[in-house]
Amino acid sequence: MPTRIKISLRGVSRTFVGRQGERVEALRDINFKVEDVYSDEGRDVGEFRVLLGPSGCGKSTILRLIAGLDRPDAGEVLVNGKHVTGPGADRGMVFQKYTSFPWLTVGGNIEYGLRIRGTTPEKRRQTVAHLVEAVGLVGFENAYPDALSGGMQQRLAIARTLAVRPEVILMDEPFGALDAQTRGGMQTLLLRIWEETASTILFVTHDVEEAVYLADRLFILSARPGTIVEDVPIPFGRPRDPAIKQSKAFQELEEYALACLRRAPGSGQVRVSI
Amino acid sequence: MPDLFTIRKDISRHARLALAVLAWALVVTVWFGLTWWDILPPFSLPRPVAVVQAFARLWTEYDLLGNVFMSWWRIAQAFLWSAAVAIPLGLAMASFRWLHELVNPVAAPMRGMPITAFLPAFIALLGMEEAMKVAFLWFGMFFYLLAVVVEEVSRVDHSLLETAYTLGAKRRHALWLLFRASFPSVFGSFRILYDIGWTYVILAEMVNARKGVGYMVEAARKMLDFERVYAGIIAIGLAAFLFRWLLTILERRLFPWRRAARPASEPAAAVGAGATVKADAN
Repeated sequence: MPTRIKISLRGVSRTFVGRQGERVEALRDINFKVEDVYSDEGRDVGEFRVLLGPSGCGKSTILRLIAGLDRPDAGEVLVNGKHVTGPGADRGMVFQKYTSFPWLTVGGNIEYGLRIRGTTPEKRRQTVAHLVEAVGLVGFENAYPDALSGGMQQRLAIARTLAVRPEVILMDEPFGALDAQTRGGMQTLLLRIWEETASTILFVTHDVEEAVYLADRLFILSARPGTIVEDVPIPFGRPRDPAIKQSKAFQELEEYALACLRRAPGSGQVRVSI
Repeated sequence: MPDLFTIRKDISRHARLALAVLAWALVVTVWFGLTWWDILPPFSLPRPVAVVQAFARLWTEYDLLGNVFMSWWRIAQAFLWSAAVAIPLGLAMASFRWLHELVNPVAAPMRGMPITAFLPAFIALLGMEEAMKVAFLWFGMFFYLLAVVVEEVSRVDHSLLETAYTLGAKRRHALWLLFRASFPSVFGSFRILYDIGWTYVILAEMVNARKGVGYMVEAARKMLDFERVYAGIIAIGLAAFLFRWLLTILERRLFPWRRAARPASEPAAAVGAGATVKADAN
């Protein structure tokens, strides 16, 4: 099967300098590639790659480097073979923080990216109608973000990112602030949407269960400075039923991932769901 | 009575109104008392009834409404000029550090200066007519507004900008976004700006004015008609209060998202696995 390299990081390091001049080495010598995966019929289905690591391991920094919101001190970041020089609509990002534009309605938020690139109103209306349906915000098109709950805010953020059809979607612990129930629902929703859109997703989390449930392939990072310590392929097929979380194979993978995290040097916190 | 001292406890509309009436009743009672028994030295405080009569005279003989309108018009012009310069400049200053470092060393001390002391300079520069009055008011408002704009634009959450960038926003979109995000807070400061305007307009109008509340008060003072002076001062307070109130109404109109109500629950159909009911008392 043909593969094409979507994202590639070579020898990427990043150190932050604090206000008092103290240096925090966030990433050291990160190397990885994300390739497009093709289905048996030869259809490009993208890849769902998860970065799992303790808090403060620099996972978010990796996403910010790919998004072009930050620059590496050493090494190079390539997307579709081209150097990342700044942010762009080809790499969408969903943040953990709620970042809806408060002065725009749900519909206005979703169509923001299309509006600034000059898409016709007719086309925008269609996209909004489709996405509102896809993320389950029907009836809230004219509501303001302030009136939405956390889960709804993140659904809006996903819809807004999908509207511009990015090739790569970067997700920085998007469900980190949600309660366990909403989180589970959002994971299922995300998988369903992803199977339709076939984008490459790079998803950052510190929740072991979430990582195993979502990923095609799982990278485990150690804490400060962040390095990749393990590359775990996840064998479960798609579409995935949430019930899979109760299976023995799933729990064994969770335990394996946890063991890798414990072995890794450095300290930090991971979330273990019971 | 433990409720009275519960921190940040809400009070009802009726209670609020009652407290406001009580406060004014106290002020007026003290005023009556002070003047009834002649406690204060003569000419320092006129009797309330005389002031009310003077107020009626202001309305009928001295064109109170026309004077208020004239003052308002001067404030409005100064305000528009302040906003037209301070908003774009403040936006640029908060966006480009070098511009901030260039302008702020001059602008910051200006806020602390006694602007009244500049009045003679304005007269010398611009003469005695309208231009001088509006420019003087502009000077009083501008540096305050500039500081507010810089502050509020700087305060806009950086992640909103980053989100816009990842959706394809260019620099001009980002600047517009900063404006949209900060404008409600800047608008809130307009009320204080108007209050500043009403304070300074009196001063500007004491020089060679033929109309305006400042002129009205000054004319009464020259006649030693203290009842009318006090009635004029009260009229200015009322006018400022009225415009403040109109701005509040306009604010609610302009920024409907700021009072969006929270829904009681998540739409249940949306997330197949488990919809969450958001607990919200209000």
